[in-house]
Amino acid sequence: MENVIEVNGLRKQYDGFALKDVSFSVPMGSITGFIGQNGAGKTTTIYSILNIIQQDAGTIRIWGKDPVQEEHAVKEEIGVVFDEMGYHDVMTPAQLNKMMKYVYRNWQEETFFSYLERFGLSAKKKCGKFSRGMRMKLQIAVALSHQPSLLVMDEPTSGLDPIVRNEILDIFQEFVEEEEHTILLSSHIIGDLERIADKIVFIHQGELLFSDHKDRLLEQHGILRVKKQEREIVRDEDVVSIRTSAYGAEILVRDREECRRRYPNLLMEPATLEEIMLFYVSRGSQMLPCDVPTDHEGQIGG
Amino acid sequence: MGFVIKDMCILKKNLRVFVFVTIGVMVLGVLFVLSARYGNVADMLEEMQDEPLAQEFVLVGAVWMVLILPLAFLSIVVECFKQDTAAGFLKVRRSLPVSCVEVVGARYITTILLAAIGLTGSLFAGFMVSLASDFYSYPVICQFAVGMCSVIFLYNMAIFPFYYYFEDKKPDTILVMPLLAVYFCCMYYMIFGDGAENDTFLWRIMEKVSQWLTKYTFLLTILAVAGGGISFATSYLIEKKKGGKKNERAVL
Repeated sequence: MENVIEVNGLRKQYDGFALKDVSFSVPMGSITGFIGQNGAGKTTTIYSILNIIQQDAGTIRIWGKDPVQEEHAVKEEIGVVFDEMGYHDVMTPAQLNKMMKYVYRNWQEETFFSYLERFGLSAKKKCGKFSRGMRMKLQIAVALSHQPSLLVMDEPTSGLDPIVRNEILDIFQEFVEEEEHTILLSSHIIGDLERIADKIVFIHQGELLFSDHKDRLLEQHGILRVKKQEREIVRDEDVVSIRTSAYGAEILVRDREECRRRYPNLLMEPATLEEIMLFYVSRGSQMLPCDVPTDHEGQIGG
Repeated sequence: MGFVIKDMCILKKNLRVFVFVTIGVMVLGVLFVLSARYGNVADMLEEMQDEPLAQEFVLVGAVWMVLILPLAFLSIVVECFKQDTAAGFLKVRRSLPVSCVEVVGARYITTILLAAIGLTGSLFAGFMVSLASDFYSYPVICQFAVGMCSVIFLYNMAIFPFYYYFEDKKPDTILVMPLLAVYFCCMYYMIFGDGAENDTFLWRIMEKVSQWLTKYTFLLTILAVAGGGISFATSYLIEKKKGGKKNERAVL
């Protein structure tokens, strides 16, 4: 499958934060969820992709093009949604339309107003008077009204109520129904990504922990629920991370079927995306570089 | 063009207020000249006699009244910088397919438009004043207005590169810096120049400035155009080469 975005060895250093050799790709026609805690480096990565900030090292390619050298052409094809609106409170959607007409070559006035109508946004109301959900919808309307092939979104659903979130996720799914449309979506709401994402890229403290197809992640990982004395039975090479409690332990294993065969007497349950993420985070600092799963097809874990 | 529209939308509220300011300035300008010619207007309306004001007073007051407009219109441009920062527009701007020339150029076009609106209002108000007065001919008032507008325009051109350099940091400090320079010039004049021995030094400064503006109108206009070009080039270079890196924290 052709990749729309390819990030290789991305590095960015700030005081107290560093993005360390982040590499991943976003396949065409997919929704790629970019997950991680607050401050993990999601926004920095997205801003680097959009050339809003300059990376210290590494290469980024969008449709094989250098987004710095061919910035104008690349940005014409990208719709962007930020976690905060960024438009002036005193402006109305109608005024935004007037502005964007001169910014995007492919700006579709009718499309924009039809989205406003669909989202129940008044064209004459000032942006400052919109609720958070409405502001997000306005950003999405702007992002979709110049016929982009790629949507890059930084936490578009955070702080929204479940109904609005659901509505917005439906719009994203509708967008990728077109074969060539692609979405890169960062979020720390795992439930949203579990619902719509095809691929998951997980970043933690500036480092990539894994990058793989969601279904494969869910298929391969499993949680063994064991008693204290049973812990020793499980081999270290099967274990991603362990959570212990007073009564026993939960062990995230990287090959569920293999472990089911190997430990038939232990209780094995499928892991949710959220559990996988939490186990990987808890393992965090103990991980060796060779443990870090990368973008290889079918390979999760070391 | 899109960003010029955005700037104008941001300033819409201020511009609306300035319509009334313009009308007010025109009315006050005429009343001022009438007072100068016939004495206190209120007394005159009550058919009472009053002494006309000194011609010197007219010289300074009436014409300066006319000059409020370019000053007012040009002073609101800085609001665009503040509003962009407050709204978090910086990151949006950098995600759009617009070049640095378009971004910086739009702000300069907005400034030129506002200068033109302010100057037009000023010339119109000056025309009203000239009709009510025979102290000044209209061409002299025009010269004064154009000269003053050029000076204020130059002031804007001087501070714009600082806005592009610092962007979100201390915008009011940037605004005050050239004013401080003017203040120190006045202090110098007051302490060491003619002003040291003159009781009415403020009036004298204003009179001198008035004479200077009318005398060097053409030169000031040329300077404003050249200053605008230099300022634009500087702002463009800052935005392109330095601005992006310096302001990463602002967008994160």
